[in-house]
Amino acid sequence: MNADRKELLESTFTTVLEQFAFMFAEPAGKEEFPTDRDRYVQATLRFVGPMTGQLVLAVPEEECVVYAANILGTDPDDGEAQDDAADSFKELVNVTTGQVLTALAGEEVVFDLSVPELGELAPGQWTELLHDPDTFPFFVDDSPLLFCLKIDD
Amino acid sequence: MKILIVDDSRTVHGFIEKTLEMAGIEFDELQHAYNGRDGLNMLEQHPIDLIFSDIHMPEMDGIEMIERIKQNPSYSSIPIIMISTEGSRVRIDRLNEMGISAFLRKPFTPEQLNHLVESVMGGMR
Repeated sequence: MNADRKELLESTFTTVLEQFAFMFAEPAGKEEFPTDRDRYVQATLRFVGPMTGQLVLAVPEEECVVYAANILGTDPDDGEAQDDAADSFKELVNVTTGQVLTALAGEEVVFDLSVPELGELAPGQWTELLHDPDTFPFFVDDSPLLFCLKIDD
Repeated sequence: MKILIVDDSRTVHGFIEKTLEMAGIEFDELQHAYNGRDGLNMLEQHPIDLIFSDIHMPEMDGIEMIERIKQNPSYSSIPIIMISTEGSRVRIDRLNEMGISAFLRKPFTPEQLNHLVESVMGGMR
């Protein structure tokens, strides 16, 4: 992936997080990126249109509730944030995908987006995703997040 | 102002409510529906001044709900702001032709929401 596209994706995702969750994302390097958590989750959304592929966001499982709390403007201990943790992380990948596709392809084209899916990720799969060439690691408010955009050939 | 939010994601309901409050938009009632059919039922049960609606929802999507609202003289003048992740000009044009009042892409800021509600509702706020 060329540097311009990488910069565009990082900038788009950073803006989405700021506006949707009031959280701040910093692009990170793959070396020494944390791989020490026991459980991770990934939200996946497939898209079909002028480009076909999928966007994956992955975080340590316990961080989902933090994203929900920030999106909803509440506290991670609040019941609403805990109840909506999975839904919020799926909505984050939904909003991110919409903005990323417009950034890459413009407003004149139509994409069909799938329903976001949430799945578990074992520590080994987290490390594998981290080292995927299409993955960008971020620290979001100091917590690790993986952003992976796959465009089919 | 009485507001109805129609979206299958509870998160989006919470996000809109939070953003309304941050924008300083006052409302008397906030009603919640999770698909187009629920939205139509809410309109029968509650007087509504403004509708925020998603497009893609199970059971009945936002497109069909708008069509039914516009066909019903009791509801056809209620302003509808469509909220979606989509940015396709083709789809936005189609929604405008159907009679929506405005389109707002997720995510959005309190300032954007305030400006849009002001333009749609005018003196009602």
